[in-house]
Amino acid sequence: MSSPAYLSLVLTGRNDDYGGPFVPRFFRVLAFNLQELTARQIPVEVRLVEWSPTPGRPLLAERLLETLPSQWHELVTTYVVDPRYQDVLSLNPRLRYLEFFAKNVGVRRSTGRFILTTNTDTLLSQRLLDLLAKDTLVPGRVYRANRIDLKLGLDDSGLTHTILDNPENHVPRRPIRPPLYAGAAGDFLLSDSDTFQALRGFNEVYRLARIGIDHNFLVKARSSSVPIEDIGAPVYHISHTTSFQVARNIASPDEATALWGKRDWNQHEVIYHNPENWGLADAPESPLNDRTIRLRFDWRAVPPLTELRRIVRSGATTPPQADAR
Amino acid sequence: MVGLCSPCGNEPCGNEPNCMSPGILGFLGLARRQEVLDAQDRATVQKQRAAAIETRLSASQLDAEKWKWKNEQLAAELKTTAKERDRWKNKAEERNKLDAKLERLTQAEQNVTLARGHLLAMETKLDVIEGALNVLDRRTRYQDGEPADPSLDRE
Repeated sequence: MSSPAYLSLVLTGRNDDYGGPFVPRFFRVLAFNLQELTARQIPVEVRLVEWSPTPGRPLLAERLLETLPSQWHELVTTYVVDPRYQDVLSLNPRLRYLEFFAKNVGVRRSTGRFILTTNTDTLLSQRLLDLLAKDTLVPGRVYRANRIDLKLGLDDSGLTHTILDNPENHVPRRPIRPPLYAGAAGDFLLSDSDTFQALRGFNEVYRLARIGIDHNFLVKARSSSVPIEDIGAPVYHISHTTSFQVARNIASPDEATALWGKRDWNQHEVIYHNPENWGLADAPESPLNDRTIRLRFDWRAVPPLTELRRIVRSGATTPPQADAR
Repeated sequence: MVGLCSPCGNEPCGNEPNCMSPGILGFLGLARRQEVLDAQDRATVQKQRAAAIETRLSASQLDAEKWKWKNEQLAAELKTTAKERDRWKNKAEERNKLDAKLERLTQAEQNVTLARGHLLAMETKLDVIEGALNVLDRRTRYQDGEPADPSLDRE
């Protein structure tokens, strides 16, 4: 698509069977969303971040290009991130996937006017798509959406809006509420590019957890006086065995740590001030093919293990010395 | 002899030429009819006056009673009002004291919130420091060829 993107979808994943058959589920969801967005002529690009690919397995980027209809290839750019970044960045060796660090890589490289960070199991609802097509989004805000969980085991091979909108396929869930509209925020955080840049993406300082980083972004936005709103239309979530809602009650402590990292951290009260080169801005890039870029490892892209001045209490303004060396 | 005018006593009253007869009548303990009638009229007038005065006196007494009662009432009200005033004055003083306490409490609460925020930030920093130390420890062990963390090898 030659016109500049109105919407950048930022996703992250890898070929690791996360939550069962990850790859087919992801492709079905991506195809569904792209079909619906392009049908409404919404200029869209996808920034897929393949974080720390699994050794010995084909790249998700490769499988994507094999599977995705060719008319959508030019919409998707995949960034394959060297596994060493996961190793050196993590402050919690048990945590396998720095999801929001990965999303920052995509946010940093998005060109759309608006950026939606979402997940590979999240479907855009008809109402939401219609709303996006109207081009009524306002810059300087963070938009949230209610997530409707689809029943576990629902056949996702032939999803239609009729199936998605059918309340019988839904699992009841508490709606999002002001002021933060928190709750499964990782599935839908939408803002304009400038706001994401101003907030410097998700927390890259507290690298011990995966859970709560999305919530922490909302706390950061609120502390920075960025209004948070319910966009007024839902997204649908395909439940799987590693969905937090499902797995939190059945995962062993070791599994839980591997999936989500430290769970009881001060995500509601403490915020962050990422360095200027957040989102691995200094990582050298080399193309693997037209649509795939490898981010090579370079220590210059790696922030220090600890930068305590970048941890601040919520409500506090960013200390002026935070960026000082 | 010039008799005394019976209605007037010793004072001349202009009826002196006729005073003899009243004098005689008076001597006999009698009076002219007209004089009696006049005297009766005067007595009636005086009685009426007396009655009117008595009525006015009664009314005045009633009024006086009323005013006395009102005065007592007002005095009582004044006393109550004074009590109320004192009560409100005390309340106002109490309120001022409570306001001052509330202000101190609000300030204390703000300080607690601030302190809590700092503590949580400190706790988060300790998390990060602990994480970094674990990572460094693991790397050191790895460099020495030892398993970094036996529990990780079990995964």
